[in-house]
Amino acid sequence: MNRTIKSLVFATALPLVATLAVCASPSVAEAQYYRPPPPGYVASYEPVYYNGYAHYYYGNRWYYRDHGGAWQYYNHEPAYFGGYRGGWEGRRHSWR
Amino acid sequence: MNRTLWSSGLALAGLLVVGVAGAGCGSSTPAPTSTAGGTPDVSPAGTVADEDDATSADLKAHHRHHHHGGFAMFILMAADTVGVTPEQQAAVDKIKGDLHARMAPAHDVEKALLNTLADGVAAGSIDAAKADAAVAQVGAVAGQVHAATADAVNQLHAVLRPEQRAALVDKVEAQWMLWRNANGDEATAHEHEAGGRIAHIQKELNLSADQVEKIKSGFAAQMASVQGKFDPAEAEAHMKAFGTAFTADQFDARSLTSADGTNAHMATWGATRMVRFYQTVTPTLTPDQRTKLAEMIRAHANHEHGHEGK
Repeated sequence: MNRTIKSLVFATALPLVATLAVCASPSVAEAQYYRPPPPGYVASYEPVYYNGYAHYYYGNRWYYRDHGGAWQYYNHEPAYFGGYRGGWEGRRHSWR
Repeated sequence: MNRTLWSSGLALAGLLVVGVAGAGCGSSTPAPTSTAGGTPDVSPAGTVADEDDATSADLKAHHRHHHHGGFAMFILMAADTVGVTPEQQAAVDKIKGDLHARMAPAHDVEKALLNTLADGVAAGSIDAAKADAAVAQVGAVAGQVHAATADAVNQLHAVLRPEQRAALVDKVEAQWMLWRNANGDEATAHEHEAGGRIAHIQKELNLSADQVEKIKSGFAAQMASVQGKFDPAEAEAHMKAFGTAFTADQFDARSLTSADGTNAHMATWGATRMVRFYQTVTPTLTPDQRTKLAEMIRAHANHEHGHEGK
């Protein structure tokens, strides 16, 4: 009987705790790292085009504006960008 | 045995719930179609935050002294960094050359204004009547820039792919935001702060705290007396109209009827603000500081867009 109760508690509590953990982590990460490129940055860098959008490498993320105008970023860098990250600073225009 | 199986089954079901809930509780949006091995793991972001980094400081310094082209200048600057293919390069270079040539009359009257200001700063007094007449010229010619550049802007639309057109609109909007940040009436109270024009000359001319305070209060008083404040709503509406039109498959710049008024008002306001600033600053400076400031203004007068580098 005791084993049954333990199993029941384990079977219900574990998923609940895991669910909370999964849901809580991303929101913290987004609040901490989300910072889309400012106007001076967008104005000055030549973007990389991928998937039909202009992408900017800013704050260690690739950002793009969707059709609604909202900035989006990838949690995991698409392989396509690997060759562009290193030379990104060379795409900056000087206004002096 | 049955109890063990039942418990294990319940735990498995619970873990499945975790998987479903975990996938749903995040704020992921529908992922774009991946064409190059990209991980379709996209998180939503928000609005653009304006921060004053070194790049935007350079651009704001530019926008404080160059108002003549209005949105046509923003388009030309956006074309510099939109990113084109080798096949597009020659055509885009030609269009940029045409845009530059079409804006030459506006550039010339602005250069005359800047040289008037530089002369006045060097001499210790700006000729107000001459400066105001030059401002009127800048505004009048800016109101003709859109018509002069419409064909070139149409050609640019034709050469660019849809995603490049969207990127160009983003860049034009970014230039507009920077221009507003540098020249809007709301900026007056913050010019002594980092990125502001008082802070800029404080560093360049080694101004004393007393000089900064005099310029700060004097400039605020000067701007309070200016009649006909700049209304950003007109330019915001034009920006929106341009963005909608330029990202469409069919585009004709001549259909943007708000351009002439917007460009004229922006140029007049920006030039007026620039004149009032240097009128305020000049009497507070030492002769050496005036000499250096005059050189800085002449550098802006002689600036040729397109001669910057990467």
